[in-house]
Amino acid sequence: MACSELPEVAYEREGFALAVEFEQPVCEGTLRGMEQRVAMVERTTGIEQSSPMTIYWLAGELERICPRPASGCFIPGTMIIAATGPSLHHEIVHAVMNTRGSVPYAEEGLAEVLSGQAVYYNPDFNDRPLRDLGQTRKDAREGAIDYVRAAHFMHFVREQVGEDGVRDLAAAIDAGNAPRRFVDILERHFEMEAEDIERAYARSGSFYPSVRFEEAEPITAFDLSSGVNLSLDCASKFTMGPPSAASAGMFRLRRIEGDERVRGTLAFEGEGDVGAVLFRAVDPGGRWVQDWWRPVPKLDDKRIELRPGDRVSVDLDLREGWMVLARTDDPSELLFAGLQVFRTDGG
Amino acid sequence: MLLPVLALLLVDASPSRHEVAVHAVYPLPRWGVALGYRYALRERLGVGATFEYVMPSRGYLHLPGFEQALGLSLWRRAVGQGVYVEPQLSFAHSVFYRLPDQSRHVMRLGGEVGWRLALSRRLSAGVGMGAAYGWSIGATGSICTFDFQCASTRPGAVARARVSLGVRW
Repeated sequence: MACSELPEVAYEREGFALAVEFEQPVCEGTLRGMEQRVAMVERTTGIEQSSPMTIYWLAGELERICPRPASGCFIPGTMIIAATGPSLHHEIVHAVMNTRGSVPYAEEGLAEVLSGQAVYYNPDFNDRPLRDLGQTRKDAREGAIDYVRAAHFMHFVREQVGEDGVRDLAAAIDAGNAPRRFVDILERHFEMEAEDIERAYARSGSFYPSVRFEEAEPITAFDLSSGVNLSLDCASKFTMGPPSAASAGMFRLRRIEGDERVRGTLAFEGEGDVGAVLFRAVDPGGRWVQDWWRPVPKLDDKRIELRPGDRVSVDLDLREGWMVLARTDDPSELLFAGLQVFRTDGG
Repeated sequence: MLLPVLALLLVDASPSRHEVAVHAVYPLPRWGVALGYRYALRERLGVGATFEYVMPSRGYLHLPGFEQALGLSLWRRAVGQGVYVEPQLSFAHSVFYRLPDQSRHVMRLGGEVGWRLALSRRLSAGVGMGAAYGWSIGATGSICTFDFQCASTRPGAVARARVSLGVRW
């Protein structure tokens, strides 16, 4: 397919139509993840998307749809989004909310939060997030919005004001209200003056986890001892893929939950070229936070990479937020994979 | 190019049956420009067509809109002079210019009353006011999620005005 042509819609799912610019089929887990994102945003914001969106998952040259070079875009006034992969869920949030750009700082921050971006940022008293709410669409176009700060502030807001507050703020965004109205809503829900909200924000925590944490399949310490299924099947709701428009393959992501230490021998078995890797969701020092849509295990120096037949000694502190990813470059067939920890700590 | 135009304006000829006009149009609260042609079927009966471009709403330049209108005008004195009444049928379109298959269409029925002043034998100026009612037609794409984003294809009642400058021959 010539890169200048746009692909035809290949998938019709609940809430969206998807056109992809690559040969590999989109795995069921990825499609369901998008459906879940639409439903989750509707549920959280109280806004129902006006009509099903059309998603263009492109290999590149987004300028065919987007107004300027970007990794993704939502076209205001339409239900059309385009992305190369990493920002697909972010743009889905924009499309469901059908944002008008009246409070771009909050809109981008909320899109980061609801798309599942975890964030690590150290706020201080020089941060003036309520002033940033006054940034305009022109500011946004010129790249003035700091997405990490915007996401961190909206994570904080969401934590503080709860579901009702998020719905009220989303309604203000939906109505195209001015930033002043947005601040009024914040003051009402915080029961504080604007300056006090900023002071409270400056004292808030650094790390906010991804909302996808709850969506990922959990593994307990007991599961690790008894054996964990990591099999890959593109038709399965647990398998996602491709990792990006540019790379074929499928993967399965599970989170390990608990607050204990697991010591022992970790054994991994798998068919074909299946590999697995254990890694942490966030660097304790805040240097990186994993993208749950497309994790990059090699960010973590403590990662444990596994090939079929590997046996390695492990000492895992489950409070560190470990995840396990199984992956293969060949999405064409079902591939068995699993791991088990033979514990030496009596657990 | 200039010479034929000057010739049209200055040379006296037989009674005019044709007119080409440019219009500043105001499909309230928006505005646009239009190019129109009118032909005199009878002394007081004319038929005309216009092609109209409506300026997109601020922030939605990627959703341009245009409209084609057909009208049958009845004139009090003669076509192109004085007061007229014109029932109109029009088709309006909004389109996402990067994906032309993403569009919205409206059919409108309406009417206009207006007045034309002959500035010379060849030149005329005029004003008009009217109203129309529009219905969405055809399959709708994923655009114009709010009507204000696509002024030219807003369904329902629309009030409109125009200022015209025409050349007759």
